[in-house]
Amino acid sequence: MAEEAETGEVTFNGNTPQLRGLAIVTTLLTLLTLGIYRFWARTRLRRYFWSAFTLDGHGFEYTGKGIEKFIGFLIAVAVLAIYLGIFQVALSFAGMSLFETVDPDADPIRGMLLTYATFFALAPLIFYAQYRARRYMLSRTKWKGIRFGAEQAAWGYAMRAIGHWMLTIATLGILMPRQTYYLEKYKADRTWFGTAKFTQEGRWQSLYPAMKHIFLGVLIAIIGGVVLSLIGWKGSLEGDATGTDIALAVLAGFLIFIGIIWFYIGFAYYSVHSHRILTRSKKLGDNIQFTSEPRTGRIIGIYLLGGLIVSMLAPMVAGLIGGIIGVISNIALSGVNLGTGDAPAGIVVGVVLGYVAFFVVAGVLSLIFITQPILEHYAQVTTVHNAEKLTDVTQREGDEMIEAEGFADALDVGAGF
Amino acid sequence: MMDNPQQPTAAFYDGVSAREHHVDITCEENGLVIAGPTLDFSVEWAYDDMRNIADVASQKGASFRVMGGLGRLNITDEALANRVVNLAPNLNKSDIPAAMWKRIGMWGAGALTSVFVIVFVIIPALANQLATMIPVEREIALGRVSLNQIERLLSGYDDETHLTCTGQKGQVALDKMTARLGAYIDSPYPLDIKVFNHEMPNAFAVPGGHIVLFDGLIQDADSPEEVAAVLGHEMGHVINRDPTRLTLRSAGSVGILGMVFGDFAGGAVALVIAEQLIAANYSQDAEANADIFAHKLMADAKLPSAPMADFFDRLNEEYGDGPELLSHLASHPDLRGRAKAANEADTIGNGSFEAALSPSEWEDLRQMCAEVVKAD
Repeated sequence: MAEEAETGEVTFNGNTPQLRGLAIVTTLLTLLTLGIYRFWARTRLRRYFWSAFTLDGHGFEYTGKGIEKFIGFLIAVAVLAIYLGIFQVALSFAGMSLFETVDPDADPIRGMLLTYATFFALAPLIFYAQYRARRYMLSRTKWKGIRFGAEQAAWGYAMRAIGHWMLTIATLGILMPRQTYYLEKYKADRTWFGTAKFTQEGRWQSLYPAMKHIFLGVLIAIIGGVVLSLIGWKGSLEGDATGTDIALAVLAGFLIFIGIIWFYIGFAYYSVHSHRILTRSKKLGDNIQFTSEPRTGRIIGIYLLGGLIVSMLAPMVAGLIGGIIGVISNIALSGVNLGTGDAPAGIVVGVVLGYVAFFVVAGVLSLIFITQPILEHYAQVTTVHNAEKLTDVTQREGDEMIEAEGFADALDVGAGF
Repeated sequence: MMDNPQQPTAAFYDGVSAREHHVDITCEENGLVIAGPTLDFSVEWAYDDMRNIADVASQKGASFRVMGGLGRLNITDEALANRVVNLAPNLNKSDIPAAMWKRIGMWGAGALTSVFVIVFVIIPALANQLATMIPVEREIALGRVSLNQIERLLSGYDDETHLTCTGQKGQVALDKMTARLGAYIDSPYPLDIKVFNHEMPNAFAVPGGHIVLFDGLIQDADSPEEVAAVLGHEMGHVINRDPTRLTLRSAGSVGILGMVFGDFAGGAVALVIAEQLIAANYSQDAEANADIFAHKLMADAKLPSAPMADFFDRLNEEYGDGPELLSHLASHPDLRGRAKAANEADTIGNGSFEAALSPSEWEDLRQMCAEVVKAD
């Protein structure tokens, strides 16, 4: 039989009516079951999205089960409830004992202490949960029948993540590339496709170019700040402000504003370009390599457009549904008193259903107008080199993981979908 | 990939090697036989053990797996896929092993127990303990802040309106009543008692010994003893540090509930309802204890507690208890039950007692808020 041409091409074909149906059904079921169905909903959506990705024409497969996630969640609740409950009471006790007022802004130093206390009490758990969620997802991902997998190293990851974060904060973000690189390397070096292991090569300093727009944003804001304080200083010496001074001050204020916006866009640029650099220096097995070149402008564009669509359509549709149901049930329920005071029962029903409809519509729209296009863009810009070597890979052992990603679900730090 | 004219009708992944096998499918009596040039031996799948792979994007035909196996079969030919679907009876049947259900039962019980123990045992105990450890001056300051917030809320955020009634004579009468009851209690804070010019028949206490009676309550009362009983009830809250304890408790239970409900669409609604139920459960205990405290205080001050019963009965007639469900949701125990308890606790009966206020003092208290209106 003729060998197929292995081009390493990645495609994504997820923009279908099927997605719309799946999104609506899973969101509705989640609502009707007061959230219990959310584990199955997320599983079904993953199964769909995974299968929409193909490499060399072979679809990916997600083999996770809703019930696994549900049990994992129960385990996490059983273990975490006591810790979190005591933690919350202690935190609000600290707040009440430390502050004159209820407003923590009034006392920034004590507020900061509380924030750090929260960070150190919760951060290890959050990083632990994130690593485990990733391990669970990889163990439930297959391509051409072969499983991915990750080694058990969640606590090691959590400790390193905390260390790197402290270093990054202490250096005002200057060592952020070091953190990004070493945490990615820690994860990648423990990731497998079947019998083939991933390796992160390269060096952390090579991520600095990705930070250029963050630095630029800071620089612009600093220049604006310096100009502004110079004008203030000059003004305090001379008393009167001239027209030029005012014009300069307005310009300086504008510079600060531009600098802040630039800074935020710089973060998006950093996450996209550090992904590019890290992907280029990743290896699978001996010589399978990757390129993934997403574009910052496209990613920001998708979020802006998608966000606009969601924030405009969701309230409109929800208002319409709530209004229609409100009027109908007002007629049907006339004379019924739900114990809600002066508000007619029908209006109450309409408002509640409108509120519920808002979440359904917003959830469905963001799947279709944000998640789907983002995945599509990543697929379009990703290529696998020497993909023919993938054929030599054989199966790895399964990873039962009965806790699934329950900790991430309970702490609400799961992956995007 | 599917453009080869001799392309067989199905693709098979053996689950061992990363190779796609182009295979031929034969439908036998009890199962499928999967065979192809790149397979070392043909594979047999019993129809009963076959399962469907659902939610596949842009599916052509159908995809199958077999229980307990790692292989996957994609049949792209619609007609053949339909034939297999008709032959295999258990395609959509769950293949969750019985042990899994046992595990759900076990961990479900574990999770429920854990949540109940923390919400109804550990958090209340911890809150009770910690409430006594907050410095008194902080509590007084916190109480003042929340008192201001409540006043602003009740006045509709109109900064010109001040709800606190300033009638001098009324204040004297109120102080007399407070002193008579206060002689029998040992409060960690100075008692700060105000009257709000508001028509609701209500009263409340905030952390740090602040108590507020509403003018509506004073107007609704038939005698000073009725007001004294309510004041005694609020003093009970102060002595038990209920406002502080309840604040700490609800902080804890909100954290737990946030975890249980997650951020699914509408989760916030479920969270608020559950939080209300738990808060009601906490405060029902607190209300009952404050009633008992008031009964004892009235007896100590040689005052009857039967007027408290009359007051509850009248509230019940005027406003009703509401349906069962709502009275469970409401933070106060049912009025009839409270009236009965107050009657039973009465130590004076038909005997004589020194009235809480003289008729003229009682009139002063009732007019305490009239002066606010005049001042405006």
